Amino acid sequence: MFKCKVINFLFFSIPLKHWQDFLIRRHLQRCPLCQKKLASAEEVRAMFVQEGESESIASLWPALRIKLGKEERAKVSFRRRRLAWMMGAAGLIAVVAAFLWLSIGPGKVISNEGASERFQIHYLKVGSMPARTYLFKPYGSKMIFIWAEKEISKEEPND
Amino acid sequence: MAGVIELKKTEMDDNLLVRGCLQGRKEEFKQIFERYGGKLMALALNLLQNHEDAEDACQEAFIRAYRNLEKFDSQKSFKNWLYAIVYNRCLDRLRQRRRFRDFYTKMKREHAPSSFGPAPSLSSEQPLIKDVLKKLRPKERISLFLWASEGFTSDEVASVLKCSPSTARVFIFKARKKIKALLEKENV
Repeated sequence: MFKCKVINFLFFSIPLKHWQDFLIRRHLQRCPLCQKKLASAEEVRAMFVQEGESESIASLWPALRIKLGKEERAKVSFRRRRLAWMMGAAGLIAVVAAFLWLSIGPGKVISNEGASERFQIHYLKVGSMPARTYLFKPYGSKMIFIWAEKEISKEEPND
Repeated sequence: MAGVIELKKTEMDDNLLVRGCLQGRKEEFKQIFERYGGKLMALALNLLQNHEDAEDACQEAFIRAYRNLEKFDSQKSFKNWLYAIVYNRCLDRLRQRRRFRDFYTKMKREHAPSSFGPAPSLSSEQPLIKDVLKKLRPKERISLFLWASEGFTSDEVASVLKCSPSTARVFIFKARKKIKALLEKENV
């Protein structure tokens, strides 16, 4: 009896759910004295409205069916709208992608033609002498190499 | 053992019905309604204590369930999922009522009391459940109802209330203790 009082005191003085559950499982659920202070399932059941005691719910179905029909139509129209939006968005993305591809994409061919127009060297000297210059542009690259070499005057071999 | 097998069979049937609903067959949903409508109505009535509100909550719950059937996890209990939806609808209704009462009280205080009649009752005049039960919090009341009337275990109650089984056990225990004390007080 004293133990029950102590446990009940501990139950209400420490309002932690896990602690309270521990006490319920360890003592309160098992002890016949503590059980007497709890309402039984039968006592509780008698207080509640039970299934079948209230008005029949069959009358709810017709109204519910109409609402479900509306819900179904709304679902279908939502799916259609979503599909239309998805297709529209996909089309727009395709157009933008095609535009980008054509304007700046890797498919654009960089022609070597006109390189000389875009890059000109009027005069180059090496060792205060006019130099021979060559321009190299490797295929498929944007780099341009300028090669300058000294003009070597070829002397006629003396016979 | 037989009970467990029976329960599993029901759950399996429920899953079949849900699959049928997902394929667009309304007859299956009608079967779900017939199977659980009465039980859910009783739950709503015990929480809301008003026929109209309980009917509305049930209807809303079924529509919500139908709308979200795709999200239902077939590994879990369909019954508990449905009970949880109804419980949440009922809580929404109770919050609505409380907000309305607060608003009404505030308006009555700010304006001349003579221009306001008695507060309109949102619950039916005829008491549907015993006054003793009204002294319980909604969570305690539903835990007790599920435990006593539906035979739910604390784990099942927890899945409806979205809390831990420990918490559900504490709710049931406290509610039983309160009820017993009130009943003894009534009898004295």
